[in-house]
Amino acid sequence: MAVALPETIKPVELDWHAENDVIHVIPRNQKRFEIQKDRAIEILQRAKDAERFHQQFSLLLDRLAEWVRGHESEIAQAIITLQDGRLTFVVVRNKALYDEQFQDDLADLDCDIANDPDLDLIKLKTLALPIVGGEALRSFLDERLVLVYYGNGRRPHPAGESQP
Amino acid sequence: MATEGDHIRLANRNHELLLKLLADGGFPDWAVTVAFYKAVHVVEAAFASLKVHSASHTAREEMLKRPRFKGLWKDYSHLLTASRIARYLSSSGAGEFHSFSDYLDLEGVKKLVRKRLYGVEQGTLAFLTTGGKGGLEEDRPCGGLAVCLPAQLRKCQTGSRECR
Repeated sequence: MAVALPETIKPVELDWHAENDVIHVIPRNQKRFEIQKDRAIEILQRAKDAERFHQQFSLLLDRLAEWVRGHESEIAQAIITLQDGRLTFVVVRNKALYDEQFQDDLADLDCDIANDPDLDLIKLKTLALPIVGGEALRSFLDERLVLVYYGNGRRPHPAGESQP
Repeated sequence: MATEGDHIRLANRNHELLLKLLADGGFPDWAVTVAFYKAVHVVEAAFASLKVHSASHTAREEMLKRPRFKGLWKDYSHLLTASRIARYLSSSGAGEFHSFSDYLDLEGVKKLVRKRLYGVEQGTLAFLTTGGKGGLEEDRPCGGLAVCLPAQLRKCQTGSRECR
């Protein structure tokens, strides 16, 4: 299940797949990915530590993909963007109703990343949203950085529609 | 800069409004928002007692993700997420979510308050000064919520206040 984002937002699609418990994340459009990542480094004021940030960002993408994999059946869309000068992991669930366990799991992930010494340059916020159409997501996304996870070749569907 | 006592007073004021909103029943979105702002003041009271002040919501969240506050972060994150959905998510398109009540209805908000706001209150008691604890527990308005803090419960049991 996926949510189609507004046409004016140009996301970079991140394919992830698991191989012997190792997660691989590959941007479908490497050039656009590099542009958005470099822009994020500027916005996040990480130019001084750019090389380390690139490494940590790559590790972050893997960590988040691993989490997405573990919650795949509950997620309509998983997006990395920016909010308030921080990287933000926005997860759109495939149900409208509040899910206590899902929020607990996301809070744990958030805390683990915040306290991971290998991710000391990463300041991440997380947000779990109920299922909504892509237009409703606009106020939660910064179009300068929009990376969307797709596992196993899944593609977006029209706004608000669920894939059976 | 606001003191521990200032934050406790504001927390109790928010609590009073929260009880009114829950009794009215027509504004679960605002009830959860007020519950979140009560949590903000309770947390800030604890931080003030530790001589810490958060300059922003983001700074507070980062502080709460530190290992010593982890339990607090988990409860706080539920209120933070629900209040963000209440304040910023609007969807008139297709899909299951049309208004905040599709995410959490009044009963859901009551449960969230009983468990998660109570969790934040309980979690901060360890950090508050004796005066702060007294203010949070004994001056906390009663009624409407099943859970009382320990000192408040003692008062309720002696019949000086009515706690339902």
